[in-house]
Amino acid sequence: MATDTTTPPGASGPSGTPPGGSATPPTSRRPTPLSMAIWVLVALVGAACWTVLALHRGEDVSALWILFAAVSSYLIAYRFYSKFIARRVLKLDDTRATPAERMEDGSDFEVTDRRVLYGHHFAAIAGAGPLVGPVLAAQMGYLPGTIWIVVGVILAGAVQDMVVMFFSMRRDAKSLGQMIREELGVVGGVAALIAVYAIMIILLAVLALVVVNALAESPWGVVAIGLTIPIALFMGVYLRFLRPGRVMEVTAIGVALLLGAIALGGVVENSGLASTFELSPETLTIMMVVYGFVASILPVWMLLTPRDYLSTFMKVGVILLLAIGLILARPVLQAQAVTPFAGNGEGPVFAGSLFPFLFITIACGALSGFHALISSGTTPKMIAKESHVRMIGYGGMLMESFVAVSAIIAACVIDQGLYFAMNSPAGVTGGTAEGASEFVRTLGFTISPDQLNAFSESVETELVSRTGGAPTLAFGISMIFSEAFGSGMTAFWYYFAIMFEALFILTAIDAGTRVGRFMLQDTIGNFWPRFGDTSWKPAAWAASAATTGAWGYMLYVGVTDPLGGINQLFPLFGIANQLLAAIALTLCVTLFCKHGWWKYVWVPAVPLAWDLVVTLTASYQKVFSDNPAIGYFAQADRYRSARDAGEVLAPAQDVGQMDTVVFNSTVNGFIQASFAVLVLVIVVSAVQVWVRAARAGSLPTTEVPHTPSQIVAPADFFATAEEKEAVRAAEAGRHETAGSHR
Amino acid sequence: MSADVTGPARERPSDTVRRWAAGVRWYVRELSGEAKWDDHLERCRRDGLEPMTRREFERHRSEALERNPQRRCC
Repeated sequence: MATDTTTPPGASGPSGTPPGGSATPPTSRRPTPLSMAIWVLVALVGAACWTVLALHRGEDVSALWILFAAVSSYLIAYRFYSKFIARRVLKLDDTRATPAERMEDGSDFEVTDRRVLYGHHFAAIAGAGPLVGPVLAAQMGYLPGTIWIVVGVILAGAVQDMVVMFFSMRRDAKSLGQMIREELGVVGGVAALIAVYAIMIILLAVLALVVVNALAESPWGVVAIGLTIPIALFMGVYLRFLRPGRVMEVTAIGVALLLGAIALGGVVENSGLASTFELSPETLTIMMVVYGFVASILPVWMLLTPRDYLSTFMKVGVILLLAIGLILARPVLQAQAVTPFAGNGEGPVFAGSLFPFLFITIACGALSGFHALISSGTTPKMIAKESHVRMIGYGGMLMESFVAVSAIIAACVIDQGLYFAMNSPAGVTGGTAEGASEFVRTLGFTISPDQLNAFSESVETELVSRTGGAPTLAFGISMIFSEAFGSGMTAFWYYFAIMFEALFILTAIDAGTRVGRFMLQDTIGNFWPRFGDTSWKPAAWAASAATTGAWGYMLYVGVTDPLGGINQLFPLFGIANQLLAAIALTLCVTLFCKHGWWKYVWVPAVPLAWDLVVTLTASYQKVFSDNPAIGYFAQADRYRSARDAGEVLAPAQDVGQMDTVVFNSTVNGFIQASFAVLVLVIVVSAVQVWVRAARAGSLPTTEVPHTPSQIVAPADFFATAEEKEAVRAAEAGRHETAGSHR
Repeated sequence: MSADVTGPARERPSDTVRRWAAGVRWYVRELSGEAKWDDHLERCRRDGLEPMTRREFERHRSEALERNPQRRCC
């Protein structure tokens, strides 16, 4: 089997006609009766599933209704809405050469088969976010979360990814930051640079917090995840010195070793060594920070690249297994469709009511600002044809949303008493089965201490107040896998799922610290050129230390917060991510205005308006709300006045913890406020551009001129008969040309 | 892969399996970057250049990664 993207020799030259003239966009064909029947059927299945989800109450509802409602919605959105955006709105033009074709250099810019690039792009955008957010959002029931994951991705998330990718592709694959600087000016550019860096720090801190919470006091987890480091080092040495380039071979060895590491963790858990690996959250924090710094200054071949192979294959493997497992196990939803917490905002997992906090919490699975960083700069350097933006940008994000839907299912099929016992902070459960059982009873759920202990024993670790989302997801996955693939391995599957999450979080931390280091060096390099030299060790180390120190500090704040780090920091992370999406969508709207595409400006403007309303409301509440459960400053005030009056407020246990709450909440409040201000600065500088563009009809942009494309490749996931024919003709033409050159 | 001389004759099940397996292998090699080496050899052959050794080539690739860190998202 060969790739069906063909590149004729001399393709980079502007002269020469495309072989067979097949680079012209295919004319729109009338739909056949069969295809019409199929799409009507998909629509009916989707409508039926949504109806069941919306109307069934008080009966057993199978989780498969969610799965099929989501998948049929994705299919329809991809077939119709993304095609509309591709043809009518962006007018993707396959006669235009992409940056990959024009600037091919064999490393950064490289024409890549669309299906391979889909895999690369998905591996880059998918991480722990779409897994953790939906798990936390499940406290409001399965329905609101599911609706937002599906509707959000169709109208906002996938649109953002596709449109940003398109604009970057038309601008020599420039990064989001570069485009903002060029289109919005210096003020917007500087604000965007600071916002991206700061938001990344919060992201890394929260991801690290998820790992710390999953591994604390869990010898099995610590041993299994700890062993991934020597395994990755071994793989690195193997690829560098023993058998260079044999990636598949070493990945197979690595995966086998990983499974062995999980099994070994189980042996240690039940041996005398267990207490050695029973680490407190504070110890794990120090280890994470040291690890993060060392990993980010080691050469990439030692740790980053080999672990990336492992995490990519684990990611794809687990998602496939989970989809198959759900269909085999057909679990029943245990969560209510909508819980009282959606309305009263008093849920223990995160505070605040459905609007705006559900949208903040789900984040990545529906709309993720971080994707704009991949969709600009990275992926556009490898796109073969303009039409591929649709399947890679829009289609890639649909897959991410599917992951989020699987995660919300996993959280909603476990016993809901257990769900709340796991996800409520230790401050309210006391960290014991008895305390958790009592606390959960006040929420309206019943689970006895014995039942809780039995659940904990089934995975050989204490589950009470194991917050962060990852353990809940791992428990849900282990339940589904045991049901689907045979019981008796519950604990193994639990740690398998924990490892799967920890692997790519560690990769994200390593890669994120490096990206942060480069941003810092680049910025300081403007004033002190030597510092910008990425191969100058002192600068590299200093910038790495600064970046690690920043997220390490926030991690420490989260770990030591008596109110619960996830409860306190996750909203900050969610809002940061959504604010980054607002920045990306603002750029999209600005470019629509500059191009004069007024008719379709609603395509990015509607998601932008919604996102701004959600994030600014959430930011406002987090800063100004006088409810101490929501407003950071109100919280600080409440604990400060109690401390000054000589009282100790639960969950704090002494004056020191009271001080911690006051200090942390103030810090969080300032960070929250500055994010919102940065975004407002960007939006205000953009509005000025919109007004100028509206007065003039359009404004000049930085789009590169049309260069004819020589590449012939199918547009979508599956090639049509005509496309295959065109590729064959182009290939034949290429061989002829090659022959005549001899 | 194979020259399709007999036209659209029905494929034997074993061939279907083999074709799928080859497809999966191609995809995984492309995705992991292992196939980049084949591309390098192909390019050198086409342009009449002396290819690097595999070791040199892989070092060259990892140095490029070093200068250009790839982002991994949330």
